Amino acid sequence: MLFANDTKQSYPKSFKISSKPNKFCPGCGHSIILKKLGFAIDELKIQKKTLFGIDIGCSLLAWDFFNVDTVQTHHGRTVPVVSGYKLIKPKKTCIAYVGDGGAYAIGLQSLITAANRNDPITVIVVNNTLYGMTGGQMAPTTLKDEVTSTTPKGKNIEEKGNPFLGPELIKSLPNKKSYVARGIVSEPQELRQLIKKALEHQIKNKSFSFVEVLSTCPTNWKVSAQGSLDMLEDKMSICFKNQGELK
Amino acid sequence: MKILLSGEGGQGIQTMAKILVGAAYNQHYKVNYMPHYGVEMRMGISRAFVTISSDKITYPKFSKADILSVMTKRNLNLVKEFIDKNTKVINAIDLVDLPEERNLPTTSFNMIVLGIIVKEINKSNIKIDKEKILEEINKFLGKKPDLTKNRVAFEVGYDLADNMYSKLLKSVKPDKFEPIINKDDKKEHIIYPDICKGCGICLIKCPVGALSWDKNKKNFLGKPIPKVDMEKCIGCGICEDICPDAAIKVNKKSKTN
Ligand code: SF4
Ligand code: SF4
Repeated sequence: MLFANDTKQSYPKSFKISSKPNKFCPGCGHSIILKKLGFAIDELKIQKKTLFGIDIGCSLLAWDFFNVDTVQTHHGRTVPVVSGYKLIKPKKTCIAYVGDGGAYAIGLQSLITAANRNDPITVIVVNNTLYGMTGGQMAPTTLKDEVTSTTPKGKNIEEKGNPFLGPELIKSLPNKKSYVARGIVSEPQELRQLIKKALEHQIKNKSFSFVEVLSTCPTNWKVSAQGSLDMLEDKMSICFKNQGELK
Repeated sequence: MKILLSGEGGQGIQTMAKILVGAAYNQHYKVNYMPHYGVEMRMGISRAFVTISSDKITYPKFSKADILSVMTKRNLNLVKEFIDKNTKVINAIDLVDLPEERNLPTTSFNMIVLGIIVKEINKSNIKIDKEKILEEINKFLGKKPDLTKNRVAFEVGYDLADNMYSKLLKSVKPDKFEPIINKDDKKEHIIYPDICKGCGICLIKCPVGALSWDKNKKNFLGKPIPKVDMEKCIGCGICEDICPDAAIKVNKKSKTN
């Protein structure tokens, strides 16, 4: 669909142009995060030595997003697969790109172990407070009173527990060397810096780095562009209030 | 009789298929229906594999269709492989405006195409009773306000002349999109309609309200795209930064690139 000879200056160089327009919904936060990740990969000049691992869920729609080596894994198993890859190819920059369900529900054990072992990989968790691809069910990160398809009357935190604080958990582990940050898609410049620092941390300090990104899901939140930004800035920002570099 | 229905998600492909197999089943044919979507939540291509037969059906999918209906340009390459020399292709791409011309709601487009499909099926040895289809339409759309209009739309399709939908797929030209470039002496603002999904985030984030919807220009999904007011725009690049799909580029003239 692209014009011949048009290099699309607005794209990072690491993008795979033939797969654009990408497969995410209009206004999806994934597209913003991946764009910023693309620019970070360009800036660090690591396109040829990056391994990009994706999970089940909406994150898998990025299977042909970049012109970099990409692997897609079973649900919640992206972190251990990427860790394993790093063991045999220590010179590669390895990124695990997962949703909040994959990271904090089914894959939490793998995530904690990798963080505790200080595996030199970068984990990017996209937090949109629900399971997007399957129709917006409650996830560990669902906010108090948030309506999802499995909590039609709003999430009761007495019964279902508080929204899960991933970066805070990773930070509290005894591993002193890890890098932990939380970004938000409405601050794209800062997000790009956080992602870039996380990748640099993996490359230079040979240590674990973790970035959670507060993201949007206009489709399953059933809101307009304005509504998704309101939800992000008014509700999610308050619940997940520690932002920027945490460690 | 193997029938492949295809179109955009949201055009009502799966409803058409359900109505069709429901009617055929009520006439004691053996039927099979298999929906096929992409993994995308939105903007995906929707297809339905329908088999209607007097004999046992052994497998739900097929590699070549007897009847193929195409309702959008976007999925042409996806359906071409199902065509062989015996396939009757129903090219409904140019019929999108027909509901409007006949004073019908745009959402009844699928019922028009369903009418054409039933007409084509009835040219074979399988005969689907029109009344049975109308019964199924009542069942599926009975609660919708546009019920009668949907029934009318079905009849419109059923009575449509063959040459209205027999244009060769080869002759369908894909949409061409040119970047929309606005320039003045300080800055250049480019919007790419072939990748803008019309989400509207740039309109909200622009600090001076320089962006608004351009009702006359369409993106690749047929939705409006933003247009820029160069008088107001200060060339800050915030829209470029936030656009999820990288569909905006802002160049300041002082920048060297
Ligand atoms: S943010 Fe980008 S994709 Fe969304 S409407 Fe604006 S230009 Fe289009
Ligand atoms: S460059 Fe800045 S002022 Fe101009 S349209 Fe984009 S956001 Fe608005």
